[in-house]
Amino acid sequence: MIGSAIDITKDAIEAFLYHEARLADENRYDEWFALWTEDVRYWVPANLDDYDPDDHVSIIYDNRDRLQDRIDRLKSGGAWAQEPQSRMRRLISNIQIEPPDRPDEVRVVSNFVLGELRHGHEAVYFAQQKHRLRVTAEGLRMAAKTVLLVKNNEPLHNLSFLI
Amino acid sequence: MTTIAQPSDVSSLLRLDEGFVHSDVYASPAIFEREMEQIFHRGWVFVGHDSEIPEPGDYVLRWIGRQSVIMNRDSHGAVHLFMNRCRHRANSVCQFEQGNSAFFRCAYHGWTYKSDGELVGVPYADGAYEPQLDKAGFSLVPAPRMAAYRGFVWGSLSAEGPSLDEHLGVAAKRAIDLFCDHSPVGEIDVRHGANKSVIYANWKFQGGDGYHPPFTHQADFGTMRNQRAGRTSPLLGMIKKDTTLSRDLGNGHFCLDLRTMGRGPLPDAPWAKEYLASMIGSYGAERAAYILNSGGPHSILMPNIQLLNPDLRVLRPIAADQFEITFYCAFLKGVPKEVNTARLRLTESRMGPAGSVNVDDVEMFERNQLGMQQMVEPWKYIGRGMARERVDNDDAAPPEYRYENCRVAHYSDELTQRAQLRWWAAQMERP
Repeated sequence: MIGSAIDITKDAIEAFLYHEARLADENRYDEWFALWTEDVRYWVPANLDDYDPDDHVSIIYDNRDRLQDRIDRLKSGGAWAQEPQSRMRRLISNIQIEPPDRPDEVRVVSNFVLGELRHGHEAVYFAQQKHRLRVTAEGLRMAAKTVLLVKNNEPLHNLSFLI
Repeated sequence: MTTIAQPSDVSSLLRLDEGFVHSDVYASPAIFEREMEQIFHRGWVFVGHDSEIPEPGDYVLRWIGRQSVIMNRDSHGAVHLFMNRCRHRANSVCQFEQGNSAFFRCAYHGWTYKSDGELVGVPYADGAYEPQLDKAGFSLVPAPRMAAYRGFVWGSLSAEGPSLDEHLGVAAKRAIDLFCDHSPVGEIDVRHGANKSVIYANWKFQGGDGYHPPFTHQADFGTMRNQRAGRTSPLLGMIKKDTTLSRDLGNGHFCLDLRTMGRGPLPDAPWAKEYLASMIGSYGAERAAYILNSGGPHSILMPNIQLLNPDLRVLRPIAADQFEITFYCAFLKGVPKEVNTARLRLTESRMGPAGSVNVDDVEMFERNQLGMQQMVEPWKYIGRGMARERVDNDDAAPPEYRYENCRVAHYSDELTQRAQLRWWAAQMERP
C-alpha cells in the first residue's frame, strides 16, 4: 500500500476534481487518461442510477482496455463525431466526502453541469458524479468514476467527448 | 392543418431506375406528414416484445407514430395493446414507461379500468347519467389490430390492410428466427435495459449500407484494438469479400448478409463450452454451428425495427429531421450468465450515445440531413451496383434460415437503399 488517505484534505480533493474537469473540458485525452489508476471502473449507467452492470446495459462501462479504446479512438483522426471537437466547460459543486472503502482511498460525491457546444448546438448535461480517489506515489488518481446523468433514461445526443 | 404531400408528389421524387432520389423525400415536412398517415398510422408498427411483460399486470408504454399506446398483460395472462386515453375526457391513463398494475386509473376524474380494459370505476355516477352510463361501451380502446411473431408484437391503427404475415413475408421471419435461435430455447429476454439516442436526421436513414464501414467506422473500438495488436481491421477487408451480400428481404425489409463472414470459435472458457453444448443439444451440431458462426441476421425491418446482434433496435420518427433509436440489449434465455454479459459489453462498445459505431453513424446521418436541405442539386445518387443485382436462393444456408428468392447484390451495393424506397413509394402512393 502506497499511502493512507487519512491526511488528504478537502482542498486537495477539490483541486483534483477541478483539474480532471479541466482536462476533460479541453479534450486533453492523454493527460486525462493518466489520471486513472491501473484498475479502471468508469461507469455511466443507462435508465437507472444503480444496478448490476453485468445484468443491465450501460451508456459506458469501461475497464482499462475499453477506456484505452475510447482514448485511442478520440486521438485517431477518424473519430468523426468529434471532428470538429466539442467546446465544453463544466461547473462542479456540492462536493461531499463519504466514508472510504479502503484506507488508501477517498470517496467523493459531487454535482456538475456541463455545457457542450458543437456544430452550433449547445447541449446542457446535469449530473452527479462519484469518484473513488486513491493515494499513489504520483499523487491522487481515479480508481473509479461513476456519472449519473439526470437524463440517463432520455434519448441522448452523442456523448462522443469525455463525460 | 399541416400540409400533407399527395401521391403525385411522391412519384415525382424518385428516379430509382436511374438510381436517383430527391432530397425532399428526407427533408420535406409535407412528406413526413404523409409518412405518419400512410406508414405509421396505417401499417404495422413494432411496439415491443412480450418478454418485457412476463407477469400479469406488467405494462410498457410505447408509440405508434404519434399515438401513445400501452402494451400490457392482463390478470389472465392475455397481451393487450390499448390506446393510452381515458374514454371520459381523453387524459392519458398511464404515465410510466414500465410497471405493474392491475388497474389504470385516470387521475383527472378517477375513471378506472382493469388491466383487460374494462371500465370498472366511475366516481359519483349515481344519478349523473340518464339513462345509466353503459360502462361496457367505455372500455379502453384497443389498437385496431395487434399481431405477434415469436414474441415480437406489432400494432396497426387501421382495422384493414395486409396481415402481419403479409407485411413481414417469409424472409423477415427467417431473420427473426436466426436472431432468437442464438438461444438454445429459442427465446430472447428484453428486460435488461436500453440505450437511447436522438438523431437530428430523417428516420429513413437506417443504415444497411455496406459501403460505409471502412470509412465512417475507421475509428471504432474494434479497429483501435486491432491496431494496438498490429492487426488490420476486418472492416477494411469487407468490401473485397465476395461472399457477403446486400439482400432485399421483400416488403422494404433488407439486410447486410454477413452470415458467411464467419465469427470464429467461441472463447476457450467453461461457459462457452456449456453454451455450445446446449446449442448442439437443441439444434444439432451442424445447425448450431451455423447459427453461432452467422453473427445474427443484421436485418432492418420496415418501418421501425432492426435486429443487429445483440441489439433489438426500435425507431421512433419525430419530425422530418429528427428520430430516436432505442437499443435494447436482447438477452438470450437458457444460457450461462457470461453469454449475456458479453452481449452487454458488445453493445456498449458500439451502440448508444457513447458507442464507437453509433456516434459516427449519427454524425454521418446529420451531415447527410444538411445535404438534404440543398436546393441547387437536390438529387442524391444511390445507384451503386444496379447492374449486378440478381435473384438468389441462398442454397448454402440450412432450410430454417434460408432467404429464398431474394434480390441480392455485392455487400457494398446500394440495393438496400433502393429496396427501402420502392416499398416506401408503394406505401406513400396507396390511395
